[in-house]
Amino acid sequence: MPISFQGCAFGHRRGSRVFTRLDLDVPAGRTALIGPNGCGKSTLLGLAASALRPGAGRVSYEGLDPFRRGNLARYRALVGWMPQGIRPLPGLTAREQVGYAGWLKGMSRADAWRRSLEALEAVELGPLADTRCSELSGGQLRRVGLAQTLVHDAEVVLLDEPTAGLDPEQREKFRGIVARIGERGHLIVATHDTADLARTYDSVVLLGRDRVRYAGPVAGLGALAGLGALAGIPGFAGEV
Amino acid sequence: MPIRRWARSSAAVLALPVLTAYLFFVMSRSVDVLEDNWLSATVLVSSAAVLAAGPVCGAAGAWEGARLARGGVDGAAAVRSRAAILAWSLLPILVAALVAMLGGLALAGVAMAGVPGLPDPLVLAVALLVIVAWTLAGFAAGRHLHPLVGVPLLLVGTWLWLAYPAALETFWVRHLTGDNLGFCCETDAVYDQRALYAQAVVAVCLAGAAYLFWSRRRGARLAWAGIAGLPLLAMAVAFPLVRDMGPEAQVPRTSGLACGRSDGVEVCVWREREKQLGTTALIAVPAARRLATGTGQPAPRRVTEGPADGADSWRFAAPPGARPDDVLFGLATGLLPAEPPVCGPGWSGADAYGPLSAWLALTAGAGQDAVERRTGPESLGAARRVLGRPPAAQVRWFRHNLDALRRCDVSPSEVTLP
Amino acid sequence: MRTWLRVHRAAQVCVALALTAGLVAAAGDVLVPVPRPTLDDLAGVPVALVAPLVASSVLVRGALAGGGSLEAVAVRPVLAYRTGLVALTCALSLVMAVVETVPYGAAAARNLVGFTGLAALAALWRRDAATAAPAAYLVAAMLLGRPGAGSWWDWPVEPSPHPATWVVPAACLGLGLAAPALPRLMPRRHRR
Repeated sequence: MPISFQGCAFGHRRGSRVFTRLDLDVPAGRTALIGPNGCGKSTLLGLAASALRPGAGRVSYEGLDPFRRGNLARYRALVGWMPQGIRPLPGLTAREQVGYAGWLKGMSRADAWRRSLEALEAVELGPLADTRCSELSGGQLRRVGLAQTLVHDAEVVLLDEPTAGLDPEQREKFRGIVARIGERGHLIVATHDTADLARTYDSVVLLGRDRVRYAGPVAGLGALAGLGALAGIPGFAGEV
Repeated sequence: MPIRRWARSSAAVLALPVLTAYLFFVMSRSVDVLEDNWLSATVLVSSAAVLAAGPVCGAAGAWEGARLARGGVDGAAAVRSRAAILAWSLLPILVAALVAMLGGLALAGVAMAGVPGLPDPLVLAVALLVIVAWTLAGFAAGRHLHPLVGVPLLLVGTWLWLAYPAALETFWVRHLTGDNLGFCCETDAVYDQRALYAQAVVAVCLAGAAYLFWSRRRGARLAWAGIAGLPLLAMAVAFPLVRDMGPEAQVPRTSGLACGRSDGVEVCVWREREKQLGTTALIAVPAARRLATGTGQPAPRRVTEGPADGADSWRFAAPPGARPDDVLFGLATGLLPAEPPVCGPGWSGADAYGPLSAWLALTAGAGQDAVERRTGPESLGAARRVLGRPPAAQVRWFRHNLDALRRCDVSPSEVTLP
Repeated sequence: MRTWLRVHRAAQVCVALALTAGLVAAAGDVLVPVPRPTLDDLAGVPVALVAPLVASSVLVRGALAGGGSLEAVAVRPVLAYRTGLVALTCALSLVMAVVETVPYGAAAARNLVGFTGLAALAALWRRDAATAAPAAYLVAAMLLGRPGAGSWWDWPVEPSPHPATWVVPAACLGLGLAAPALPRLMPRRHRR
């Protein structure tokens, strides 16, 4: 199991709760994380990325708990996270921003610089490597975010709404990128883009309010659809 | 969005208690020493409001400006004009400033109870204009500066601009800020309108430049020209107005007297003191006659708190709480030159001032204790010695020493005790 | 590290520090009148005591800048870097105060430390309004403080760099810098 949540509780503010007790073993391979708005998909990815710290319980990757003494750096080096909002860092070019992300992930400056171009080429942004991030379009900025996640060769890649704002052609390209990531590591993608789930992902986790409603192969979601469990989730008309 | 909800999210909610507290602190030290005229109360309120609300509203503007920038107002293709968008954010802050100013006016109103007159609307309007200008400057700064820098920068920067010129010896700068030092004017003076106009010009130009800076679009050369030109215009217009002004923005008052007749002499007091006209006349008119006799001058036809020529009309002052001796002393010393002549080093004419004041006050009928308190025992002794002489000798002594006060080539005579 | 320094506006911090040092040296002893209800006349606060607020704001802005989500999952000890930037700048200001013996130099360095500490503490509550806290504190101290009276709280307007006036600023900075690291050292909250 790549990422495991055991009895996790989390609230953004004192008194509020997104999860009270979450138990989930995310399947290996390419996993889609779906659910209605506000069900905690981004929070779940934030916890998995160790950007957020659970109030109770533990998150682990192959038994490695990031919040145990001495584990944090090792854990973070294995996990890459692309949040929903990618902010351009003032004054930095796309390559500098991606290189900076690599450096923050513990790579040497030279390695980060070299790998930054490869990561940008992987998301087809090579020609814009020397353009300032503040001058990129929203879709291009999301691809910079993706490159930031790929730059340090993470074993687990967490993507939060990566196709939001992308045109159909870019979405198709993104599916190709997802396929390549899936070949060499684990991928968890929080998404509302539920078209072609079966073709893009191996498994799916369906989150409801404060609980996991389904975690398993994409094919198994069809039964739930028949029970009406997917009502309210954008894009679902009962067909997977 | 409902107005109440819009206002609740504004920085004005935090700014109002801060600036109200600041305003009352600023006012509390001065409200007890207000003059008996509404202009002094108005200037105190406007000055306190500008000093309190200028920096706080500037900082609040920087916060709101940054909020609008973060909200993407620049990029949004809004139906409403930029001015309307700005106005809706500006409004709660200005309402907070207005509420604080009205609170200050209420406080001043309590202190001014019984004094006839009303606050000067022009002074208050200029104060509001200054506050608007600094709030707009805050919005302009907030468009480009993160609130972490913009808020303290505006708070401290505006406060420095308003407060620091009072410490400068270059007086004209202080008349441009709108701070007005918290004081103007005694009842016999009025606000120098040139300072008000200069402040209004500076505020309008600052507001205009700030608005252009906030609302400009990429590559708008006209806006840049305005941003650069308006401060220059402000200086070009405002500087000549205040260049020659002294430390205080006041000029002698020439109107607003209430007059009556007593024993053939016209007596005039400032209209704020009209209730004391009868009492004052009973003190001033007989004293003027005694002084005329004692100095050998013709009796005046008019004694007044207003402008006087020293011949037909004599001047005195009867501020609230003044005792008869104070009125007599004022009337008596009104016969002396207001300023010494411009003489070189070694001029000794000033030595005559104390004994002459004492002699005039005693002649007018003031008590010896009061005279001694004001002029000192030496001057009182010299005056009493002269009073023991025949009237003609006293007149000669008075005229000689009056000349010593007016001219550089005459030395005082018999102004010290042997 | 060079990019980290760029992202955290180290150049702007240096410029702000240099400008503040210049202002303190050139006009630090100029008194700005401040109305105080407790005194008969307008009292003055030296410019040197007020100027560090802006330098402190630029420093705090720099320290809190950067890609929030990027640094939130960084392998490198970014919190230590940030703490180092703030501590180093404050230390630099102290060194400058010692080397550059100008009137109020030490008091200005103390205020930089104190303002930064207050902002760091306020940032725990709300980052984007962090510098409003020292600004408000300065205004309150100007209005209510009595320089020379030996009270512990009105250090922003105390011209003397007496060691007692360093206690609160140093404590604020220490707490403000240590507090973000505390959750890692303390047991987890919200345990059920």
